[in-house]
Amino acid sequence: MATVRKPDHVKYRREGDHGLVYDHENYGYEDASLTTVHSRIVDLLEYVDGSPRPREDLDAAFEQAVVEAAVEEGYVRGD
Amino acid sequence: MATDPLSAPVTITWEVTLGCNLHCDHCLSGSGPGHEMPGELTTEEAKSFIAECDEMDVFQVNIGGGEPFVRSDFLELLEELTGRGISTCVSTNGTQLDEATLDRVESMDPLYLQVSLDGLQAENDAIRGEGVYDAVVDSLERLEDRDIGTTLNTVVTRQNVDDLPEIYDLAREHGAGLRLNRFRPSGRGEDNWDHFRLTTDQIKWLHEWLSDRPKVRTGDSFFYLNAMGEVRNETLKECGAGSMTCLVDPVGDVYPCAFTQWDGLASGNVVEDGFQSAWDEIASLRTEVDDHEGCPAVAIGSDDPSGEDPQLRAILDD
Repeated sequence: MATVRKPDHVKYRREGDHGLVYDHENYGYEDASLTTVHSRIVDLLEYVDGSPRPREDLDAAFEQAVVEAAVEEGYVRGD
Repeated sequence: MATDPLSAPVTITWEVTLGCNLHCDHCLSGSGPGHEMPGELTTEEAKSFIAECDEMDVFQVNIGGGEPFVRSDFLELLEELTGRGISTCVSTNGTQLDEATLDRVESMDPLYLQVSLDGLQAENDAIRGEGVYDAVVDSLERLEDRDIGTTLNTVVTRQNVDDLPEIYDLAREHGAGLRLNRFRPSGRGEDNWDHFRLTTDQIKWLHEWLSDRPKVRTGDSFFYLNAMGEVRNETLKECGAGSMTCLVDPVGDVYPCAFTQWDGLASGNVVEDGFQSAWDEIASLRTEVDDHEGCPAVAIGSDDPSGEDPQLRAILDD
């Protein structure tokens, strides 16, 4: 996983002291999932949004648990 | 969600016009030829509204009507939405999809089509008009080879529920999904509620049929139970009207959902008040919607004496 990016079907925003992630990979709202996430996940998504980043940059900028959660949930993917 | 409203809806439904080339007996919005509302949003107003949706971070816009494609500027509005990266799903009757239109639709992303089919030929055309079934099947055949996510959408009624297995096969044969919508007492459906609504036995059969076909989409809180009244899908349990989603009508008035377009539930106008202001106001209306178990639109629209969704009770009380 040299560089990582946010897939287009993953959308997010800040909501109060946390965040929301909306994922509709398969179709649209019928298959969508909406998840409440920690604000650090939003920080990470903002960090990679629009420009893929080397994985090591993420590891340096964010806690390991945050990076692993974002990868595991598919919020960011390797190119 | 009712006590801690979201800063913006997750998804919205936007009825862009009440004009339609068809005049369906069960139309939730009472649309038809020449039924455009006075003061429907101009192109400029519609684009300003789209910009505000983008600023508010609305994730998805589901477009309905009326028939959206009868609006002369509709493709321009789709380009505005998808150009901003807003996921867009268009509900269409499938009769306006010529090749030039499909060329432009195919060039946009993320964009999905939902084509209405309310039965096989006899039942569909009895509700939607003669020749509509053939037109929809023709559109399906032409969509099959295009890179456009397509779903057939069926409003399930007493008359077409037996057609569902064959409609499911028809969708699969053309590489499309199938989505079921509940028939509700809204628009012309209010007048025809007793004619079209499912019987208790049909409701139970439908929920059982669905449990064996997980790929059939519903997106509707009515289907969170199985035929035994047990929860089969927790994510569908909550009615999101006014808490996660809302409806914007052709003149820009905001309601909790497409099926609750009653005067007392309007919460502002996207042009006069701005969408953010209208959305914030919805929180105060949510309490009224929450007073009803199941689908508030069915509970209120069907005048059930107990103030509950009578079709939900049909499963729970049996």
